[in-house]
Amino acid sequence: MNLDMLTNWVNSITVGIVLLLIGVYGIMTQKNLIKIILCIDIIFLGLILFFVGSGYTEGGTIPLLGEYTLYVDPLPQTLMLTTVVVELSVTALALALVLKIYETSKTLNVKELES
Amino acid sequence: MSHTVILLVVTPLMTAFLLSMTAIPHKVAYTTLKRIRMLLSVSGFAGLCVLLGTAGPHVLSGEVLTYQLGGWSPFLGIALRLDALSFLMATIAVLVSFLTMFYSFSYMERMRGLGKYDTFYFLMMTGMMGVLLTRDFFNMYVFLEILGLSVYILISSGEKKENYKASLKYLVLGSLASGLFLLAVGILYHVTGSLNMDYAAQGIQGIVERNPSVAALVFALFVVSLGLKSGVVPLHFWLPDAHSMAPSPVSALLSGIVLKITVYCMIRVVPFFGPQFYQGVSPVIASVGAATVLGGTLLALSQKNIKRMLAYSSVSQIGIIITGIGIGTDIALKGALFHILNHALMKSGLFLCAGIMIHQSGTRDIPHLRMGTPGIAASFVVFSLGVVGIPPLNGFVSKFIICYGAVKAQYDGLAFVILIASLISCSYYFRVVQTFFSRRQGEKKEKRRKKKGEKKENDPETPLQLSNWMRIPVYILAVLCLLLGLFPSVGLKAVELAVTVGGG
Repeated sequence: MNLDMLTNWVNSITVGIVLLLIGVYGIMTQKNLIKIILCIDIIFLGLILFFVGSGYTEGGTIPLLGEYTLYVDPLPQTLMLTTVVVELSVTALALALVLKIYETSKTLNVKELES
Repeated sequence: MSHTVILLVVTPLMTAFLLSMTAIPHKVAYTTLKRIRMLLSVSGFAGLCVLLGTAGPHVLSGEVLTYQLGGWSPFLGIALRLDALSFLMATIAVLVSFLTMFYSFSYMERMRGLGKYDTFYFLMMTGMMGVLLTRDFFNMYVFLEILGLSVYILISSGEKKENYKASLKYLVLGSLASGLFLLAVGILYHVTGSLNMDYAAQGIQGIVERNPSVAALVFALFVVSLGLKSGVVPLHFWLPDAHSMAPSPVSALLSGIVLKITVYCMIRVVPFFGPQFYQGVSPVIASVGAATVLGGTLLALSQKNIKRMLAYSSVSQIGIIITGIGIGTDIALKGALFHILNHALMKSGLFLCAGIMIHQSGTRDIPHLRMGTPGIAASFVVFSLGVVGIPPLNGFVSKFIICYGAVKAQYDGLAFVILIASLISCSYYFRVVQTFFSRRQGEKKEKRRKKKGEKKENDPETPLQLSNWMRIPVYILAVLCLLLGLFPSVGLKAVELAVTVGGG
């Protein structure tokens, strides 16, 4: 019974939200620039899980016209393809900036950079 | 005519693409490439102006231009819409960035990678136009990211340690904000089944009635993410760094229009939940706005660096606009929109002036600033009087309308806060103006330096030749401020039309 309740709760929507919160927590607490950028990625991973999960239908199949009556919502999945691309470019730019910061300051620690 | 709306997004995108091809590090063809870049940039903006000019008469007569991407019905595809509100914002954006572009021809010349700078300048325009025109929430997120990414690159184009740090700080918080925005969009799609603003607005009515906590969650996520991007007070901490460390023309754009784009999103999103919901949240938004006004003003008062001071002043001016949105009556919204226009002109002018002054004096410290030329100093005085809100200038008109709206809607305290903030802003702007008239202090320091045989302070922005490219945009902005102050009815007419569209 308890396990059933757990499996009801553990779906990609809740996992996505938890990942998002972990990412936000990480941005606030981490001191290393690379880790902060990884936290941004975790936030967006959570969001992707959330979106894909929100389009899921119990027992649904691939969304092909005419063949099936019950299918998953294809729109969130296509949206997430765009988000993946956007996130890739954000991460690439962030890492390039980190590289430049390391070249000029010789440190990745946020506290040392502030002073 | 039918394709005008999409061309507003495509023109800057194509210009950016063509400009990216001129970014070749070739020494021989340097001047030729520079001319090509100038020609391309000017023609890109000229194209935007022509498009806005052809759409203008239609929009100002109350018509709404819509465009379905790929001919899909708006329920399935992405719809673009040019109405009076987005037309007003687009005109402000094009006007200010056109003038700033002339300034940056001269200003950014010493910096390497000019081709890159111009490319991302136009990508930023693409992002802005997209955000202003789109009727689709997910599309809005994508264009906000395009705008954000190009702005991060523009900030880092100074290629100094401070630029990189400010850029990364902005990037982290900007991504966090877009993450929250995306979450709000996801929940909204989940509960309403549509991403189109018009269809989702129909769906959200039922949600507000049946399940108000979900509607409140979506609203809170939207407001927090857009507030983070526009620097509302508890979330403003990244703004002074990004705006003061960027090269001056980029600061002018950031404070002048990029902030306004997120405020525009707020104007679109807040009434989206229906008039009843709007009335419920209006005191919350108005008090956040008031906190922003006070916080920004008090922090600006303690700044020594002129660009940081201007950035904090932007925070407080954004607060005034948000207060106007929060009050929510037609009069207050009119004032808020007019203040968006006025603040875009004034603050970009102030940052451009500050750029020239920093170059001339080789320092950012307010007591040691020199005025540049009398013309620049006079424009600075005009802009600062405008921000403070002295009668013959445009800032007075919009602040007056917002205060009038506040009093009429029984929010007397808000009007009081705005007046107090204006009084305090007098003191920090006039501290800068005062240095124009007291040359002695600067000369003394110069003499002492000469005696000791020291070199001039090694500020990142070293003196440069002041060219007409830099001066004339500042003068044009100053004249526009004066004209809008003397004949506010011209601006108010456009704003009134925008309120009837945006308020509903």
